[in-house]
Amino acid sequence: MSTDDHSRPASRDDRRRRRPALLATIALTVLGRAAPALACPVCFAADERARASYLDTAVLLSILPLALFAGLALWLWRELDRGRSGPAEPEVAGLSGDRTIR
Amino acid sequence: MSMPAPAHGAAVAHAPESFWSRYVFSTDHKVIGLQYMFTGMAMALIGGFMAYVFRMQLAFPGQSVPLYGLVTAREYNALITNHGSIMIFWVSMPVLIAGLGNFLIPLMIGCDDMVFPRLNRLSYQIFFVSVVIILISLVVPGGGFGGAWTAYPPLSASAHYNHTPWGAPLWLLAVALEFVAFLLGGINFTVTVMNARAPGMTAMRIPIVVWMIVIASLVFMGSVGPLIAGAVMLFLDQTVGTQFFDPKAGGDPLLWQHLFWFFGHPEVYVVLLPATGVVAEVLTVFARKKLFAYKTILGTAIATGIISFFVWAHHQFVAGIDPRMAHLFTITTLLISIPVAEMLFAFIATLYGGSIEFATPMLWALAFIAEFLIGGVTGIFLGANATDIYLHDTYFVVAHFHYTFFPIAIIGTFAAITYWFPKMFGRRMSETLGKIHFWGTVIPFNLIFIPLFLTGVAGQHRRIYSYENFPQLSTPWLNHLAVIATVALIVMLAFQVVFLVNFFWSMRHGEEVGANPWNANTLEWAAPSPPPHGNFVTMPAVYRGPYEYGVPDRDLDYWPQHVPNQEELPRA
Amino acid sequence: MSSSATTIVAATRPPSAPRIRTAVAGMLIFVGTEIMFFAGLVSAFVIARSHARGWPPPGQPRLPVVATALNTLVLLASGAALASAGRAAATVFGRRRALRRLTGAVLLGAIFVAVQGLEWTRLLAFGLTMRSSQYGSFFYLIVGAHAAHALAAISTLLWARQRLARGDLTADAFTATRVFWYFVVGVWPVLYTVVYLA
Repeated sequence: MSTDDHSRPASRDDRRRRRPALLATIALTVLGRAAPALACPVCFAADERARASYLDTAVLLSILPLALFAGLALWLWRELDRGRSGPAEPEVAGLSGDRTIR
Repeated sequence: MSMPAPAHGAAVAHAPESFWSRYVFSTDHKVIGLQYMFTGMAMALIGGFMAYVFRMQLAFPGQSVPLYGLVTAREYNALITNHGSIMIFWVSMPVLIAGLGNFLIPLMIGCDDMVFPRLNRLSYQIFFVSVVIILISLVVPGGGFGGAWTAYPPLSASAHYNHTPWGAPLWLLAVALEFVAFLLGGINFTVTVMNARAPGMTAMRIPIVVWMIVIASLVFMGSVGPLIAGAVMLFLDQTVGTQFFDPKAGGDPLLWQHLFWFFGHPEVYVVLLPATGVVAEVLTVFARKKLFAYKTILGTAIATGIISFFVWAHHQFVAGIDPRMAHLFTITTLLISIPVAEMLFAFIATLYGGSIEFATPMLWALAFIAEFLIGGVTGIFLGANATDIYLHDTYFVVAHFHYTFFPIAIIGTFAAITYWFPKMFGRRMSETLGKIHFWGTVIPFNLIFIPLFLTGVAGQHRRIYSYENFPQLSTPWLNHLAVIATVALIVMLAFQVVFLVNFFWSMRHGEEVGANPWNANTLEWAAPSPPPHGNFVTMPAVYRGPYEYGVPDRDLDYWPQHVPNQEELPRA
Repeated sequence: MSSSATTIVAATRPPSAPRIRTAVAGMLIFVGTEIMFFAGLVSAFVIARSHARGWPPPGQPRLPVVATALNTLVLLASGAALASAGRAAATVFGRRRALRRLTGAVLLGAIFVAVQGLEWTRLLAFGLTMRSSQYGSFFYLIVGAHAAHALAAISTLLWARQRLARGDLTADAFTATRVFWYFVVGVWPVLYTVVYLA
């Protein structure tokens, strides 16, 4: 009796927890089953190599700016670190950018 | 460590004296910001007039349009193309990013000018040249470019197809120059915020609008490169006769869409973010309440910026792209609505429990939330590839993106202008005229575009000169809807006269105000109104975040960022 | 009390954030945009090549792979010379050494551009033009865009050289001009691999 009381809500929770996974599986299956619709007669979309190259360049163009931002953030981080730990005499460490080169 | 604050007198002594050096060739960020803003407003009038002409043609096809005359099909194409281009590239961008960014960033972070003032001036000069070129392109032999603001080849690639041998290359040149101008401006904004902040202005004390402009600039600079590459290729196609995009000789028209939309969609977020930043500033001041979830809003802005690089191909669902790509981009497009919705929730939570004052800027900010929400929700249907295949290129799309762009570029801008007008000119705008203008703009706006949702779902395609040639699409019902939209547009344009009168009258005769008429916290209100050359009387330092409104146990309900914690000291 | 309060306030004026090098930061962001520009060109090239029938197309001349590889080495040497000029400039009284190495870097860069120009004249004579094929269009577009950047970078290096000779070049300005040249040098091997070796 008491075990029943405990188990029933637990199993409902389980099902609720499994639901997103189930939905995702269904969605992915449907997506995987989708057949190509080759609408544009002049866009080389029927050519598998062209389609792959579109996908590849889409990935390249999307990732690259994020990598650049990450690089900028990293540079900024190091630059600020350098500024914080900089010695009192910036001339010696070559820190002061406004100094002219002699 | 703290640098000695430069005296006010010294700054004024360096201020340029002659009219030309002061207002035309100035390197002062405030002057450049206002130059951008006024140019953008002038272009908005031109773009609005174009909308009036082609809407009249759609509502009353074949009849002479007052103030214009008969509209030919070619003129119609040129009008819609340049309306779109001007409103996006020469109104939204200059006013929201360049204008506000230039005017606000140094004032809000507490420095005397941009870090590259001459680069800043060069940026406006290049922008001005691009304005001249786009205006010239409207009157050259063959007329203005008529291939839509997206300039899809093969139509745009050759004068054989578009019949605008001068209009098309000049249009492309103007767009490219405009990008160079904003590139210089964006570098300036980003580095200024990195490096010229007042003492104590830590990252988490920067006002949201400044963060938004910086993130928008970074997104712009990350996305504009491929479009410039595509523009160079298209320009060569038009002028040299290469065949990058013309399928006649093995070129690939889809390639242009690939490069164009890689920029074209992030561009939407480039103008959206500064507008949401303006709304955040205005909401807190007029709700007299701390901005809800500062860090969350900042996080959503960054997330929006990142995801905006993964959504662009949703413009090409019907172009014959790889279905695998279409599915991916459907998912990312639906994903990006999450951070944007979260941002709007944070704004609504800011209002909750506040003592709201319905001043004109606040009305604009609230209207932004309501109208942009409609634009965002209708975007879901277009982002999903299944529904988009039906709705693509119908008036549903037109209505959707006007429900996003109008709140951004018009409502957001009016919120900004009415809010910062006292800082710009030292005088207040009339509240009565401001409210008349507000209701006269927002109500007709909805009456323009709700009918267009309906005509779009009914199947009316955009970029069609006259529906009389398509009997199924010119039923009496659809024609009535077109007339309603057009009449509403005329009403809305008429109400802009109220704004112009209010603006220019208040510049000279408005009630004079002190440094801080709205009792706001951010640093620009610590400077005199209007701020002199060099901005601040004494360079400010920052002691707290920008949104300390209604702090308990304080006499005042606001607590400016630059005021030290004097009253706390004896107690401590 | 008020006077003591103000002194305390003056003492607790918040510290300024550490400064970053403005010119370098600006140049790095600009270079990021340029990288995206070339990424756009490379993407277009990859897509166009993928649906072409035969690449290079029959009847079109082949690109000089080996000569350009040697020329690439010249460009890399120029980058190395500039890096060593930067190191010399960071030492005390290193100006004259920096000047000599900077001159060397400029000369090597100029040689690279000149040899590229010679190659172009030969290819044009063999019938590879901007309009002869997609292959030719992309070749001149991508290599030409790089050459334009190289020329612009060489003129900034010449400007820096003049300032350095006069003794009024700041360390930041020198670093910024070097960053731009490193970009021009660094992007070339990528373009070479994509355009010549593919």
